[in-house]
Amino acid sequence: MARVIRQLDDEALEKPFNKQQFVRLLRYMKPYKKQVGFSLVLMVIAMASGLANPYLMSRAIGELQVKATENMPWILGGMVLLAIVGAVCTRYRIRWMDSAGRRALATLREDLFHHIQGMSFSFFDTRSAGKLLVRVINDVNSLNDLFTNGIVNVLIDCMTIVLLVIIMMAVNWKLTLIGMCILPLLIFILFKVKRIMRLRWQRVRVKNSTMNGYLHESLTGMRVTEAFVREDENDDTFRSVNSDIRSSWMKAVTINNLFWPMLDLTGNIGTVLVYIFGVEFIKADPLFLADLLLIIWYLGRFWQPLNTLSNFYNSLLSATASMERIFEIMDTESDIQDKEDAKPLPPIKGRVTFENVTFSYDREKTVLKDVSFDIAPGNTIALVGPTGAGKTTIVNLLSRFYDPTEGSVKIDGYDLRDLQLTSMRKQMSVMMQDTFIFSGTIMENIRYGRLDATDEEVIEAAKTVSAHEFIMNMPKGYQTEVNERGSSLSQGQRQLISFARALLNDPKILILDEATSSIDTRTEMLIQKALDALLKNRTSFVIAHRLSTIRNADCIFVVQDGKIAEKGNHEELIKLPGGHYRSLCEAQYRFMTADE
Amino acid sequence: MDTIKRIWGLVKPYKKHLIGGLILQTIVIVAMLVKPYITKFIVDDVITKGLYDKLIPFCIMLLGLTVLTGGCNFLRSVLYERMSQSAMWDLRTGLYAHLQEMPYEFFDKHRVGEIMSLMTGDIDGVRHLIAFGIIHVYEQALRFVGAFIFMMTMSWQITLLVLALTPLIAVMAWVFNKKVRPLFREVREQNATLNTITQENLAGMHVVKAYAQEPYEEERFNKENQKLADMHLKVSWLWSSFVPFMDILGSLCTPIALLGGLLLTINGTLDIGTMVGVTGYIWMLVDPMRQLPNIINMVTNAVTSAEKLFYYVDFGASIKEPENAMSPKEFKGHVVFDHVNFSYGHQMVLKDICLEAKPGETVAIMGATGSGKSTLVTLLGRFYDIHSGSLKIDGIDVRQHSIKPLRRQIGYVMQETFLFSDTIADNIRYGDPSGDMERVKRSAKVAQATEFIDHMPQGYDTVVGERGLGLSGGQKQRTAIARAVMIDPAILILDDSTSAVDMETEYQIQQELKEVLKDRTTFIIAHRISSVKNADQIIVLDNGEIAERGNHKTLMEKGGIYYQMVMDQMSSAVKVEKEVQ
Repeated sequence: MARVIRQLDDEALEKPFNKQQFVRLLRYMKPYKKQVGFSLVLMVIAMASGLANPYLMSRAIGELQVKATENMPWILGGMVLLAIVGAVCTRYRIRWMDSAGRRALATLREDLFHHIQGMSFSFFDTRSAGKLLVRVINDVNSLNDLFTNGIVNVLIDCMTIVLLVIIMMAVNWKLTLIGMCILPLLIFILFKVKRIMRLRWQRVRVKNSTMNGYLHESLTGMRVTEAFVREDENDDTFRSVNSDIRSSWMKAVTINNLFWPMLDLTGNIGTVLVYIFGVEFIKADPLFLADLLLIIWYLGRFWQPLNTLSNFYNSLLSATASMERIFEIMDTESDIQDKEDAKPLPPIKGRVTFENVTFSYDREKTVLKDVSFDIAPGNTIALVGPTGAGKTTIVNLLSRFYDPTEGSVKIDGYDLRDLQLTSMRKQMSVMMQDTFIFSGTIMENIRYGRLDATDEEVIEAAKTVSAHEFIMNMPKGYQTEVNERGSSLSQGQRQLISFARALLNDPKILILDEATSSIDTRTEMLIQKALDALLKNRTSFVIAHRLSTIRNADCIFVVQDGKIAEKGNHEELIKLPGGHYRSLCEAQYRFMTADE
Repeated sequence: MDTIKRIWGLVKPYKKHLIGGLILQTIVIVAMLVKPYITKFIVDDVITKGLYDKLIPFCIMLLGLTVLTGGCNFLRSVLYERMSQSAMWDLRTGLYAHLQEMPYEFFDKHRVGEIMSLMTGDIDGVRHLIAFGIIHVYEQALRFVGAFIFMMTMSWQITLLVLALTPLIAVMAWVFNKKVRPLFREVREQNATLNTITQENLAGMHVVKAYAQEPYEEERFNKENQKLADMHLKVSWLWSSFVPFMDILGSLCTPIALLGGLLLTINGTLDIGTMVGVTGYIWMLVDPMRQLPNIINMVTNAVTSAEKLFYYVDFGASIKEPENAMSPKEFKGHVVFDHVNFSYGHQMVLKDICLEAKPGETVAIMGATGSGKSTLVTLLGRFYDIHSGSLKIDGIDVRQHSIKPLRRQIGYVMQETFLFSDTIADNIRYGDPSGDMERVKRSAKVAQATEFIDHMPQGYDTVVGERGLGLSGGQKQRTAIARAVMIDPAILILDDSTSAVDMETEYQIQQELKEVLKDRTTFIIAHRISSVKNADQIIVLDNGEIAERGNHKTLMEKGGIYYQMVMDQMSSAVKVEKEVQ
């Protein structure tokens, strides 16, 4: 039995047109007003020269019909000239319009990225990185059509249609009206049939991305599949996913391939109508042939502007969906922002004060309840306690990833909310449990802590945290390329690199979420040594798992149910009979030594 | 040539579609060639000569031909699409099945992204060739030759005049193609770069924020973003320099034909209808020339893609079901390593390993990163093949075992936990899809996962994995343990699989496992002494060799590597212990 595939894309592919947002988008084109204006002029010229061609053709045929020669060189020369003028205009139109569109798009993307950088953690908590990535890359890309061609084309196409009707009417209004009988049919095909076509192709795309998602996951987890002998079931699933693609594809392609024959037939019906009724005119005047051909040729030019109009309509719908998603992000204000009168934080000593801090992530469940403490500069605080007790929240508030719901957090007496965020974080280092390694060299990864550090300083920092030795053992030393995935670094090595990164920043306040993962004993020893170096002379908050770290702390906070249940150093706490800390230590010891 | 033959092999099952399509296409082209002739007759006979009663039949013919071409074209395209889609289905599902047979070594060497692009981009290239390539070549060639012949019968002078111009178009199209292709590749690569930068920025956001490096990130992003815009513009530039001029060359053919027509009509050798008719053919002569480079491109691309695909197809599964595959009636889990050597590439990973694990025993393996611990246990399920020596499970060499039944008896909890984007329940019963909820829950209980699963929004039906709810490292590991317990294996492998679980929980898991897997063989890789000290055998690996072996007691007495590790880890605990007392 085939497994149900979880759908990956639950986002609307299209949205009804939204004028306000469209206008907002157009503002990005404003700096390029001149280029757009020029392009418009060029397009009009190119269009006119294109439209004149059938006219000249028909005149030439008329001349040939009566075997007149004197005007022919002019007519032919005119055709060549028009062709060249048209091509030159098109050339510059493409250049100007594309450069305006691409630059506007780049600006939009920059703005979006800038906005995302300014968002606080609560924003990233509720949105997956994958979706944000799609906003920045795909959604912006999908606006390209609209920017570079869409808008200008629409103007030109409307003009073309009007002009066509005027010229044809001027030549022979009766025949024109007859020929235009096909227009309703043409419009139906272009707008209605195309719409269905588009919806079906969208379905194919959705099915395809489902397949891609399944395949990607399946390949990533292939080792598990082989270990658990799930190959046959997976084969079934994959077959059915592919059959889905095939059948949706066939549905789309069937209507797709009916489109052109339908268009062709419509055009030919028009031609035949013009012939049949045109013959009556020819009976009266044989020289009418030229006009007849002219009308037939012009009739053949109707579908193209109509076609682009219908394309535009379709792309407008999907662009609106992208647009709304982009602006939704740009309209989300970060809940952590510098105040208007925010001050830069002067160089600090590292005193940390919590005053009656209460906090809730969702305003329903309180995570921290009325927590107060005051830490003197240079002290190391170990936070211990069960998962979910509020340890991480304390450090999140201290690094101002969130603002307290009530009460205040102060550094050297300054309320964090009155400070410029950047100036404050620069004097602080935060290390989360899962160390992130950027793709680049090891040197660059350490230097991320302070961009203007020299190579010597980087190496010095690595030496202090005992990372130098293993780095030098790598094929290219500090220049070894590493990255997040498929990285050749072990868990312990990654931690050492992040220690070096933090040390380079030389913060007055250090926040560390110690990793639980067990590391081979050799690296473990290195990390303990590195920690000692790192914690020296700084106010440090460590969410600790290692007994040694806890023991060496100046003060231990036992966090329980959003409160600090016990406070004191190891010697003090261990003596509290029935205390949380004491029982924690006992339990740890029991697991270490328990026999059988 | 070989590749083309193999592509033909893909099409062969759908020969009927292929031939039917070719016939239909021939009809289409002939009808298209006849059409301008009718226009010529309408102009010459009806209009010029005044045979007005012929008009209606001609018009009917014109419409009839349109319907005929449209219909045949439609049928042809449906046939070809079906053919190409089916061939692609065969290829893709076949390749997928093939990939699932691949040994671990294959996935060590080929990255997922690489295989993905093969399974999507390259397969699509081949599909394109099958759907359009064959018919396109046929169509353009036939159209060109047909238009040429028909025009020659109308007026050979004009035909030759037009023909003289067409090579110029082909050359231009060729040069354009040559220049634009590398640019397109650059754009694709730059897009990928921007993608990576953004993705990393988002994934590493906590580091970015912690060091307040937003300005640096923006600067980096803007640089690449501008570069992308510039590259797009380079393409536009090239495009604008070529395409409009290729178009005029095409449209210049008409005035040139007219010029020829002018000279000929003056001499009286050309009817006006013929002139109109000829203009109807010009495009058929010009278009194939414009398309030529595209076609050549498509074919070469498809062949390159196909070569890659066939490389993977030919990449034989080095680990195959043995010819006289055996399977014990009942697996007991008796494992014997007898002087096993294993090397990876040129590097010896395991040297002369001798080890026996009796049913019900627990073997703990310790050692530094890279000492060969994980490799040793992957040999059990024959995910890699040993090089020399022998590895027997229940008295049968693993290379003689029937592979799938063997693997079904091994509960493997890997170092890197991978969960599928599926419900927790389905993840736990991954190895036993028909297993009932009762057993799923029992397995979860053994792995101490019940509590956190019950706290999830939809309990066991909560979707986890990449596209679902994120689990913490410890939660993932416990789910993976439940998954292994679920298949009720004869041999359980725990490869550093409780590293993210706190000590108390780990202890409970061990107690439960002891109960459930009473007479099963367990291999456990760990760093914490607490995880291994109760094992029946402890072996310490160093550089692929067994440096020490024994149990906790004997190794402690020996005072070697193991003793040192214990001392390092216990030192702080012992101090605490003293204080507690």
